[in-house]
Amino acid sequence: MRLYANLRVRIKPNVVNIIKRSLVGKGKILVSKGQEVSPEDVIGKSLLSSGFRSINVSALLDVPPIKVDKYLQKRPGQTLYRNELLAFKKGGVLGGKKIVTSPTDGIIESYNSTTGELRMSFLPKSIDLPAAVYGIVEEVDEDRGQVSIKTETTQILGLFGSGRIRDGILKFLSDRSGLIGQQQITSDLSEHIVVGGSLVYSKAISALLAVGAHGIITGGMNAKDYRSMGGGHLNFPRKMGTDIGISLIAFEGFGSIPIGDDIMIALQRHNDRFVILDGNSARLHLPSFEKMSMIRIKKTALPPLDIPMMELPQEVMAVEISVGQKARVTVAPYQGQQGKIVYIDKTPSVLSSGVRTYLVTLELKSRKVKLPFTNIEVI
Amino acid sequence: MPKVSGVFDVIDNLDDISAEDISKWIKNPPQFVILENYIANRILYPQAVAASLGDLEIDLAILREALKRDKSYFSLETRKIIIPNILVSRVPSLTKLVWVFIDAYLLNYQGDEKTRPEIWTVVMRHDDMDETLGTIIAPHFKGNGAIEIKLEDSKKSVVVKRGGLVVVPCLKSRCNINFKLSSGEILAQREGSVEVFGGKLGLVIEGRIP
Repeated sequence: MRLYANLRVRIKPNVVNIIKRSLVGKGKILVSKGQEVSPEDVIGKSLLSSGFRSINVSALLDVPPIKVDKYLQKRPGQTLYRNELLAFKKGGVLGGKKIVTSPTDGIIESYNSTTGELRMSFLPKSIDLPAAVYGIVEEVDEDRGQVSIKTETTQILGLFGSGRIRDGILKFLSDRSGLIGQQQITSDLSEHIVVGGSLVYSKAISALLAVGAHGIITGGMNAKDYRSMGGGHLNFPRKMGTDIGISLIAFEGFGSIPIGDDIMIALQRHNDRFVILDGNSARLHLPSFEKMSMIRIKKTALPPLDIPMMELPQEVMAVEISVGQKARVTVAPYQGQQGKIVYIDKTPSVLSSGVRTYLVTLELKSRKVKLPFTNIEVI
Repeated sequence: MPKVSGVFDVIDNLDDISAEDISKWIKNPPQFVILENYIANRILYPQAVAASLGDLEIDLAILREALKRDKSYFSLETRKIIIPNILVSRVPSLTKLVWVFIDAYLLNYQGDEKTRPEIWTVVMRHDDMDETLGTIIAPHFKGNGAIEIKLEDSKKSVVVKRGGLVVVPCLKSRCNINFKLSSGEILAQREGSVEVFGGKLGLVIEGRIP
């Protein structure tokens, strides 16, 4: 009797593909098509204003808004540094002297003589865009400030995710079966892709979003939380992308399920390194940091296709089950655990549910278990 | 080769089912968050089978709610309930499975109660043909009635009170039955005979439908 199970590809090593690197803010691309790049090469520079601030000068000087203008020491368009004099009012015999200094470095944008508010934008920061990968520049888009680089990555395929393509430095917050604690979420995680453990709660997602983290990697999450990120629906494969400001990928399923050993090993090798997370396609790219990868990159020609997210191949197909294959369990209580198939029953058994089916014996880390062949997938 | 499919592949509205909906069918339901995750994992892995009785109870509850939202397995015109054959192999008991379909389609019958059909044929749909499994007989009871059913070639009769459900085996393709209601009717008669389809399922005398 031939038994079939789904084969799910979870890790695809040494895949040559295109990744995009984007300038933050307006700037200039410094590379051209066909140029070879290394991770530390700066491929673009941009200026980014990190925000603005409003100061109610009228209230601080204790004068009507319309009269503030004669007390201002700097005009719109002028640069001002922290603690530099912004406005000054001479006092009278009885006092009334007022001094207003700038709370930060910035440029005065405007003054509103009706509200008395002065608007300052923070001084723009110069930001370098490193290549972050070994590769060859395939395309430069000056208008969008984007560089497409042909590079080699290890692709890790998740079960589901959310969010557009974001990149950052990989940082572990937990082991494979832990949870992310509130105290672990600090502003140091800004622009990082964090690795949670078996479950990430909505509160942790909100906290990571607030500190500016770019992405979350987890074993599982609660269906309710995923619905709220995914527009209220559970459709696999996704028909439409969603984005709540942070990207997420889950590798094992719904509920608290530790990240599988196979993926954990790949992630640990990439700790503190640059990674790219495509939440909507549930794919994590780990760029190769071997210089030798350039040989494979140069040899590989990619088709000029721009495959939309929804059309990416699903990487799941049916295969005949055989002894020696590596498999993972897809249902509780062993969901997510991995092992080797050591025996396939020749005759069906009746489970405690009353269902009659063939069982396979899977050798997990700590024990051997007999499971219905429909409740595993080959990996 | 295309991926392995399963029970929940025949249902494409699992996403619409809430934990609250399915908990109503479960004797001791787990917390909603566990049920929500269970449903979501079934969407991810529709080929999985229930290994324990608890899991089977949840699967059948999900199936009930899914069928309530999908009338394609129910035909009022031909008075048929159609069961995909993949379900028969994944649910241990045909009676349990038919019970699920009765709960989904007949227990909350949406049409006019006065014109509700009393006799329904149950078929199993294979790729190229339908196999008749049996018949559901759901009398119109008045008050706390009961129905006595006797197969023509049997000495024994079965009494089903209002609110009850009994399965009478009848493997023949056609079964002649005599019926007598204390209060109520079938085909506008309190007493009479009728020929119905038999099969692996037999005759389901359903006394719960209002």
